[in-house]
Amino acid sequence: MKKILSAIIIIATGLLTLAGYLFREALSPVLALFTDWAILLIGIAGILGIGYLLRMHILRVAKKQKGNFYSIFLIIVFLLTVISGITLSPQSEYFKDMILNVQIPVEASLLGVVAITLLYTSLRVVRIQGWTPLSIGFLSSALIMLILNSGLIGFKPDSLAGRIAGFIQRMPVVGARGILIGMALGGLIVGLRVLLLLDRPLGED
Amino acid sequence: MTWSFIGWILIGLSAVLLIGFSFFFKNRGRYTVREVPGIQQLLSARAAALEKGNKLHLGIGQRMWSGLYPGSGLYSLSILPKYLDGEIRNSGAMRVSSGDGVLTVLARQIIQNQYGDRYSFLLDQNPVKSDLPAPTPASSTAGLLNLLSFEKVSSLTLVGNYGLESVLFSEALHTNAGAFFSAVGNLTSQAALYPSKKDLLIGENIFLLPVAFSGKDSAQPAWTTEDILRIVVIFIMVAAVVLKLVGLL
Repeated sequence: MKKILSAIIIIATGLLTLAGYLFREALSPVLALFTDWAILLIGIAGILGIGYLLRMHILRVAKKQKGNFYSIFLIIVFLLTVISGITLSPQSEYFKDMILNVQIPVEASLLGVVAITLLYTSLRVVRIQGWTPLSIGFLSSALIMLILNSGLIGFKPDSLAGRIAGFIQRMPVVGARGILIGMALGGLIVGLRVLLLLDRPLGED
Repeated sequence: MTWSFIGWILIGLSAVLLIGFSFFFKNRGRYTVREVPGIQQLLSARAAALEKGNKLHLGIGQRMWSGLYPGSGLYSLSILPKYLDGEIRNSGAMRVSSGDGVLTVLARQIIQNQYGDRYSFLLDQNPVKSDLPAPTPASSTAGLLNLLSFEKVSSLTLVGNYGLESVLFSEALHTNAGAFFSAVGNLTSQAALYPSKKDLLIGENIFLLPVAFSGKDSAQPAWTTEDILRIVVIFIMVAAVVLKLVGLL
């Protein structure tokens, strides 16, 4: 019964949402209601998620698991942020400075680590993929894009060289669109499989 | 005829093809399921990890919702029940994590539902867990790297929304001598991982993953429909380019 009910809810919601694109005016109140319910559910789930995070770290401290020092630090900073956010309000300049002056440098340092790791892994491309046309194309296109986008070579926009450079610079967008179209097709099929009951995403057999 | 109308024709065509092929393949019995090297590698790595009693980890994304990839959060959740087979449920040798509280809560619901169908989740001494290492993408990256290191994870699978940070997870698994697999639905992550990983799932292939896990043959109608749609879309695009060149569009 539970499975049938969940299947009915999935199909009804999916079909109504799909029909909403066809009959916008007639179905807009229903779609707005669905959206409100979804936002409410997501909001509550978000708060519960934070609760799980705290519970996990409290348990780690209580069980004296490896790395519990980081959990103690996380709990203290979390409580400090919540209490100061409630007392000062998130709009407070002092609160923003206190949080952002920590958050931004930490995130920037993480990005620095990512950049170095990306450079290192890019250099391994031939070792991993071998000397294939794809790996050679990947490396050479990365190099060409790096040179063109660095601004080291200047072209007049109306000149032939400028137009060729512009054409080459647009090539990654073409590739990205191709992959996105493929993903859209895959997503369409998955959605239809659910609506036609050929697939049950919640795992019921 | 507008682009929107063409879109509706494609949706209708897909539905008709899916239903048609489902009946066609049902009557014809079993057939060969397409083999994707990346998925085969993942399935072998997963089996090997379970045999050795090692830990598996499934990352289901940093965000539930993304403007550019709206369905990928929900899609990663739909992969979870397929990944949780009986062996994994019984051994509890898997952890699920995300960078978004909503994803974590929904994942936990799915996991409990999987146990609820068979036996109580609460009575199990060592159930599969769903964690939120930290509440933002950047902090979650640091949290997950920490988890991978402490728990000596030997197989990591990423699905859903990840960014450039996925390359850090890949390197962490490389250091642990573990197996890394990605079916991330995000171009940035796919591009970042491409140089360091051989068998990535990119584009529409990421949608093959749930079927590969479940081992059912019901994928054939979907794959056949997808192949036909690809050709139809290519024809439409070529026709549009020709019409544009001629000046009719």
